[in-house]
Amino acid sequence: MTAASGILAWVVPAEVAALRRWLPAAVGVLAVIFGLELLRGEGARQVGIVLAMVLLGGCRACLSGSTHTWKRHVGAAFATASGATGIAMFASGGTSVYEVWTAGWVVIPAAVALYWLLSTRVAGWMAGRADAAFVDACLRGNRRLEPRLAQVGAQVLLLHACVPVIVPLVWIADVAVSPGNVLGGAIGDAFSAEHFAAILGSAAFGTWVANSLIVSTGTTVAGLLLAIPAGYAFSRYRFSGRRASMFLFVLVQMFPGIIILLPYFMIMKSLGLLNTSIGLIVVYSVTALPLCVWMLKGFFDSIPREIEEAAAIEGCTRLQIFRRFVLPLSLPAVAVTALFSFLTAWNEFLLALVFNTSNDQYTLPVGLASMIPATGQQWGDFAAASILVSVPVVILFIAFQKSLVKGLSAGAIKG
Amino acid sequence: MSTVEFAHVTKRFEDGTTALDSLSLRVEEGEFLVLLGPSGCGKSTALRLLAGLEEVTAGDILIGGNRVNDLPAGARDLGMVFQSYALYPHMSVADNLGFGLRYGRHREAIDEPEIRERIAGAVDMLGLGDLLERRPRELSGGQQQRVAIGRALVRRPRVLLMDEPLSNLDAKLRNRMRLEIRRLHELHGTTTVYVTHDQVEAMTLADRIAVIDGGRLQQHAPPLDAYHRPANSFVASFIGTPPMNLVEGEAASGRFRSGELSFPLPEHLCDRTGPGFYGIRPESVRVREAGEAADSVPATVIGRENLGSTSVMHLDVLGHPITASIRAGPETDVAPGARIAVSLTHAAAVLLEE
Repeated sequence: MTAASGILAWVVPAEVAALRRWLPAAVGVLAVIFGLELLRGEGARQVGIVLAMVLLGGCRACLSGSTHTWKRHVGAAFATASGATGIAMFASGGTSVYEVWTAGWVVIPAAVALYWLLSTRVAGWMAGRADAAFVDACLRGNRRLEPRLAQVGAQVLLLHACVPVIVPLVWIADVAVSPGNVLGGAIGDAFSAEHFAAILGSAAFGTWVANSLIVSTGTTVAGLLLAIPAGYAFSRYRFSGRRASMFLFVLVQMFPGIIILLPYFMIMKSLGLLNTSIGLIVVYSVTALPLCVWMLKGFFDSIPREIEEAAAIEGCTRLQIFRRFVLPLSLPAVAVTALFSFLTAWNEFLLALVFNTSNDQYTLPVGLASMIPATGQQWGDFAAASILVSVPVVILFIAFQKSLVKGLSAGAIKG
Repeated sequence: MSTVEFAHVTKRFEDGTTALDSLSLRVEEGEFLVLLGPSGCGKSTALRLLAGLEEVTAGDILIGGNRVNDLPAGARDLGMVFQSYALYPHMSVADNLGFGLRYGRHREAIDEPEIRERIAGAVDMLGLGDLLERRPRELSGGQQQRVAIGRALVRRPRVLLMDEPLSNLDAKLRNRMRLEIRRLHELHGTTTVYVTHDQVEAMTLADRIAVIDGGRLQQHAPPLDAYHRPANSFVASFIGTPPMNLVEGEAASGRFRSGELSFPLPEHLCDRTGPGFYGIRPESVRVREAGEAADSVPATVIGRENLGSTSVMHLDVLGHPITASIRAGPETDVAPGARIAVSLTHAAAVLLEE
């Protein structure tokens, strides 16, 4: 190895470094797209994508190993061919989001590769220039480019990660505001509030909302009333059976909910609590309790004991200490626990479905489910209702965001 | 203000460890007592027992002559300063100071103007004027410390307890707060029990020191007594920097012998006989040119630490490590390995039996 090529191994232009990473990534994405095309059974597009994968792979191969100007030319040729393939796909294909996106994954990497391979920096580097002025310029350029390229890469990645989350939301919002009851169709082609009006106007929906609010609020209150003292006791007192009962709490949490369905049903039946909100409140508070207690215990543990001791020396009773110190200091954790209890009750489906079978005792999830067979093709109403159900959850999350972060991160309070 | 008395107090924890073993100790009214010992010796346990934060296993604790074993912490009328300060994080400085007056046992006994007056007094005394509306986390360590002391004092407790209050401060601030604490004590004259592992704090603050080791009281004496006349080898080695030199051997017919080492006992120890520890403070060791004086013993210089005005010499005296602290001067300028002579015979030396 000559001295010059030794230096060049260290001084790699940021463009080349980026292409070395991005081109294989593009090939990987194209492989996924190829799989999708197999499902769609579009032969011509399959060929185009395989061709693009080979061409982009060839372009990448030209960037490894020793540097030569001829390799740069070959790489540029590969990129050009790949770009041409992409443009052909674009021209022959439709204009749906998916088709534009797939063609984009062929054209854009090829265009970027071609643009950089023709730039003077990469040209100089591939030609083996190692004079001080060039190396210096190259390093300076790298320092400027590297953070930006990293940004672009991260943004592309994040955009792709967001799509699977957002697309269903866009769909359901579109179905909810589209007139009639069509699933699919173009997004945002027409607007109508008829489904929302129908749902908000229906007496059944109002009943479900009321039931859900009663059950969720009741669960939250009952759960907190039980979990706060229990968590405090686990955190501060040493009593016989402490470790055993804490372990039992975790144990209960390990079983899937369905295993307790039948026993609970029998208990509820003998207590006459079927088809009542109280019944669900009891069941939800109990099932949410273990996690709430553990969350609160963890937070209570982080409150310095000395604070309570100082208060005790100043003449506070246990109850005063709890009310004036422990509770105010653990508010974030209490908020998180409350939110958790509320959402558990708000979203729960299975137990509500089995216990409360009469129409006027449906909670929202059960009510929504009942719309599917009953209304046949009323997808618009269903979509509108599911959006309305989610609204309180979103509002709660936004309202409690600060507490959530505080409550979930340990050691949020320093003495 | 009150006396405090520990009468054969024993504390055993549930896991079986004995933290305190029959501690008997009396703190006079207005006295500043320092409980001194290495970490884990039981000194903090003693304080927590006195505060009512732990329960006594055996023995009695008396405050002002009354047995308080069964009294809850809040009813003992104590003020306590914690190592971590334990300020109430969700309250302003003013509320921290006033909390005990407003919500503790004093509620109703003290009216609001009196509370304000007392807070103002504490604020003046501790220089907290600008900080009243701040939260504890917005204060520096030294300010938090002052608030903690103020909070303990505003209730005018019968006894003030301090658990290593200076150990979270940097060295400079620690020196200043040490003076401050002593000044406050002289101002208020509150009976104080102060726990520390730092013998400098103990020496400078205490009216009397109680040295504790392994859950047992080793010596209970004024600081200088403990320094000059340690009760045993533990106290001798724990108090003083550098610590007292101890040579284990036997005294007989006016001389002290340990292996090859033999030197005349000072006059006040001449008539002692039997095995024991000969103890001599580094500053009492005299360094000489190698010579033939009757009390000289040969020594080899191992190392030398120059502290400016004094110089600490680490010597090997016939197999015994001895440190000598002497005024820095040309004669201390000796290289390691040099052979010199020292005299260990000194009027301030002690002979300890254990």
